Amino acid sequence: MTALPTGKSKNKVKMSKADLTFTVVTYIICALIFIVIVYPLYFVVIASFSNPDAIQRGEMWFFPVEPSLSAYEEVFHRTEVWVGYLNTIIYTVGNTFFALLFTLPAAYVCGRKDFPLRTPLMIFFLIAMYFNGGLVPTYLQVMRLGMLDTIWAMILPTSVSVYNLIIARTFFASTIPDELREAANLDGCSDFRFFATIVLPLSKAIIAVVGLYTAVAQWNSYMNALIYIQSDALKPLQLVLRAILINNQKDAGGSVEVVRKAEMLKYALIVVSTVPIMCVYPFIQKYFAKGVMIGSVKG
Amino acid sequence: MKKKVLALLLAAALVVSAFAGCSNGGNSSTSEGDTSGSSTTESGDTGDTGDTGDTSGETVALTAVLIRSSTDGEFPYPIITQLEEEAGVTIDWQVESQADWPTHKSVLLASGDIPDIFFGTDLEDGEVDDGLFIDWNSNGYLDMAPNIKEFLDSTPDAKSMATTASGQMYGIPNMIAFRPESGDTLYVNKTWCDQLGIDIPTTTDEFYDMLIRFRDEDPNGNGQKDEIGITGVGAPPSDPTLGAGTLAWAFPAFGVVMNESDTYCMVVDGAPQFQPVTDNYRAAVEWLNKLWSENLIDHEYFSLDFATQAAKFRGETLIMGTGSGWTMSNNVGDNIEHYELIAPLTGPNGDQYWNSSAWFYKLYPNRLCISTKCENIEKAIEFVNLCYDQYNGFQLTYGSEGVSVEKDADGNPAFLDVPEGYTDPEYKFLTGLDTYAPTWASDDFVATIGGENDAKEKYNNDVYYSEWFLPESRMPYIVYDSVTMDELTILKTDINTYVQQSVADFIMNGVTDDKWNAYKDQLNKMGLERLVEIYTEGYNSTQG
Amino acid sequence: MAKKEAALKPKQRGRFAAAFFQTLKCWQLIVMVLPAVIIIILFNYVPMYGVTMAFQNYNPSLGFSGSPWVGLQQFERFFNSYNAFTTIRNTVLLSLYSLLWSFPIPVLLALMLNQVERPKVKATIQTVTYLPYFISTVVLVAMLQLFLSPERGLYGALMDMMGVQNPIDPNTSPLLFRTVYVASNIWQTTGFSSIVYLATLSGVDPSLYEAAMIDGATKLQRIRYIDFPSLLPTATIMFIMAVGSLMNVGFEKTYLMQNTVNVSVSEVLSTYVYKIGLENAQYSFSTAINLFNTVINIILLTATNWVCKKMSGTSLM
Repeated sequence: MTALPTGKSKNKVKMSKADLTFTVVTYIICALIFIVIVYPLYFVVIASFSNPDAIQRGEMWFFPVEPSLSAYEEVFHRTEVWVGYLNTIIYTVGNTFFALLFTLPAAYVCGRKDFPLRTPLMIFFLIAMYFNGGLVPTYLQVMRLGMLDTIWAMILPTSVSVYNLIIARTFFASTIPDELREAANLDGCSDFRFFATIVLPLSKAIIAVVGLYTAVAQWNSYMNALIYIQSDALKPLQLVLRAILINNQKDAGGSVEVVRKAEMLKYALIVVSTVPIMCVYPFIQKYFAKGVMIGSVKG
Repeated sequence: MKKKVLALLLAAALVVSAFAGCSNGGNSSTSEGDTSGSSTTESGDTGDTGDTGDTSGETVALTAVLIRSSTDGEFPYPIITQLEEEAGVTIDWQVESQADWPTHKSVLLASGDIPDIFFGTDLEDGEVDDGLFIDWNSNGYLDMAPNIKEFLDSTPDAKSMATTASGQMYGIPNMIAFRPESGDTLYVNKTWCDQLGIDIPTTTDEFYDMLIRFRDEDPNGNGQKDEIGITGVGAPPSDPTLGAGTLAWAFPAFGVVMNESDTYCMVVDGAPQFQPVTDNYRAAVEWLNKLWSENLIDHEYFSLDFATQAAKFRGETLIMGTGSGWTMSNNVGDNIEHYELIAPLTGPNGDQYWNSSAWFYKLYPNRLCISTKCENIEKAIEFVNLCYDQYNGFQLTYGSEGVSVEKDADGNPAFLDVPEGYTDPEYKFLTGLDTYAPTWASDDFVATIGGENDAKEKYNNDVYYSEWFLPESRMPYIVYDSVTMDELTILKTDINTYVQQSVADFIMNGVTDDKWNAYKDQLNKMGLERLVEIYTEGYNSTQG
Repeated sequence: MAKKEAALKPKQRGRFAAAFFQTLKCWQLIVMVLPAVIIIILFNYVPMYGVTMAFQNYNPSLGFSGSPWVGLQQFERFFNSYNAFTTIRNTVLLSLYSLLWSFPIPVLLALMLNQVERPKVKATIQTVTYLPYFISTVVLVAMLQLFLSPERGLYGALMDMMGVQNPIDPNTSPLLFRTVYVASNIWQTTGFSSIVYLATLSGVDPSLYEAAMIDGATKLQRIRYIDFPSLLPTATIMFIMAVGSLMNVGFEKTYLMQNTVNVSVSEVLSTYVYKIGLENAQYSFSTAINLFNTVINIILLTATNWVCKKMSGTSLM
């Protein structure tokens, strides 16, 4: 510190000031974000315990009003909820597995500038993303394949998301340098080997992203189950929860108690279906840490 | 690294074989288009498609689909099993929920393999008339079902509802016991009236004065100006009552008697007259605007849904002065002792009427349909005919004998008391099909039903208000052919949306001559004349 | 025989053969892409004939083969409707506002979070911002309407405190509809959308930062010269794809937020189609409108893609 020329120390001071301001501003923003997001989430949690009329009248803000566990009781005393949890886990794992298995290699290929069929392939995928035959033809197709009311109807049709494919392709194309590929080529490395042994380990972040996006989409979905699944034993969580909610929501002809339970259920269901995801996320987060690419290109 | 790939592949192989191993033998769906569903019973039946009961050849196996409002409770109901035995059929039931039915319906109809009987489902006129379902007016089918015949002959509205312009009948409607002809009620906070020494209002002016006093004199005594005169469900998007939601009761006081059909028409001098452009209608919205500008109507009104506005009626401190809705207890909950039902208000011109419809709440079209591909149509008809026996139907609707209803000492039907822990509607959804039951109940039959049940409350409200119905102004149910229907759909949606939008605008911001004329011009530009023309043609086809 | 040979010039033949053989050389790549292609063919291309429903008068009882063909009639019906253009306008404006505001914010969030030193703070904020994504639309709108109620909500309390009489009601006001819609979208999706950017940033070589710090770069400068360029390809692609879904304004949220007072701005294509469908099931009509949407989306997509390609070299194809 003592032997530095004045110019350099002035630089250091300026850097700290600018960085300090930046850091302070960042932390303020983070605090604001925290409040703005956490409060409504907290609201959802306490709302799942409270008297819905009181909520609607604006009487509940920080503490539950007339707390009651009846919404949770309604959900958990039914075995179909537990079956639903299990099914959703199976479908999510299965779907994500196949999504990664099919999408990542395809994305890599689409990102390879030296692949001659690259453009027609992209157009092929893009058209698929935009033109959708609709509910009935897709249903008929699934039926024709004999997949109705089976696990496969939940896992396969949505396994290739062109959206995810494009994200992954961009990642591969911009992160895996051509020099790497050329170097490997010189060493006699085949495409398969290159992808499996070099590209994949470097792409942990994008694997995590595609995996996460797929898993979340599958976890939240109920539409496919609605049309393809009829057996109670195969119904996923969202479908079961939805049925419970609808069951309790009666319109004009309904009873007061039942509608009240439905209101509380709306909030409780979010808690019930989100908690597992919340628990899984921290494990994936570490893949978004800095420095995953250390030592890749050098040498 | 190679090992890793190998490991991945092995894992994949393992997973695939695991899945293959446990692919559920649920529905046998490999054949051409077999979508007959599983019968879902409480015992956790995982949906085998096998017939229940014997296949000795004495019973005929049929498939059917119906809608239940609850997923709990034992199904099939005892009454259904009993009727199956009586008719000598065995039915494989596919149970749907009301919310999922539209999605499942489109797929079901498209797959081509439909159940034999659509036993109490929602089907539109356009969906039944294309060769999928039998025409009851052909092959003497109707004569095979004397109960259904009796129903249709004695209820002209039902017959016209079921019959197309060219005389075919593809779907039989239902008419449920205790369903009303009017949808609304009007009640005031009696406690506050007593508190402030106000008489129950009978005219629109008295009503207005009462609301002013509610607003200013702090009847709930808490020193805050938190009293609200009127609130309600402010016009959900699909709304048959002019877009004014639960303020609909105000219009008859000005001579605009809505018949709960979203045509917004009254029959005047033998032809449909579109109400939202009449001077009566204008007078009504002007009166409502007067209330709005005096803060007598909840300014949140137009964004409230049922649960939110109901919450304002409940709670320890009373804040609501008046209310309107399906029934009082439905809305008001525990505070019911504070409110009292009142008669329709008399308007400035002496009009005192109440909205009603012969069919909107009572008759549902196309509840019962039988597929043309059914192998034993005669047996199917025999079965459904039993359902249209009124006592059987009563059980189908509210619950089986011994469970929810019984025959009393005189042989008359009666409600049983609902078991501890259940409310009347809850139990009804658990043990019966409610408005999805394919059956009917004549007024005479209903009059003989004893016992206590909440369903009677609505019926009694209806009886109370029936004094002020205006039956001759009601629009009938009109069945359109598909070409007209196509044109009508868009025209009607556009015009109705504009009317609803304008009602909100008029009530909130008032009406001037310029505004009113511009509004009428706009409606004409949108094709109002053509719309009324379609209604008139349709109306004429139902007469005579 | 001689004619044929003359038709295909030697040079062309050579090029064709070369391309063919070059493709064959990449057989491994073809195998890698094959499963995805098969799935897409099976579940997207085979059912695609359903799009033709837009040119029929589809009746589920008659099926595809039985329903009559009516050409462009469904499209005519739509454009003859009085509200067609208002509805389209509302859809486009709502989407445009959404795009303008909710596209950059996840990028900014990722850039900012990436610079946060303390891992615990970074992880907490990340987890917290991603949670709102899981709140169902129904609950979100219910909370929104409660919080923003001038009588019962926080908004009302705030207005009271500031002494504002008769404040504007965000739940019914046409003026505030888009703002509330977009703001709640941002609230709900920012965290989740920023994940892909954070992942991209995690792939940045840390030695670049070290070098920059030695050169005296401030955090802001590091963002500008390192982070931002590394995000550019991903952000560009995301932007192009977002433009490519411009016409797809979701049904559920708009429908729940709609009422007769704000319908002049809240009526979008999806809610309009739903209302028509309530009158009378209109399979062909809704397919036609979807097709119309798709065509517009594709036009926008192609245009944006071309512009981006010119400007930055990154594009979808």
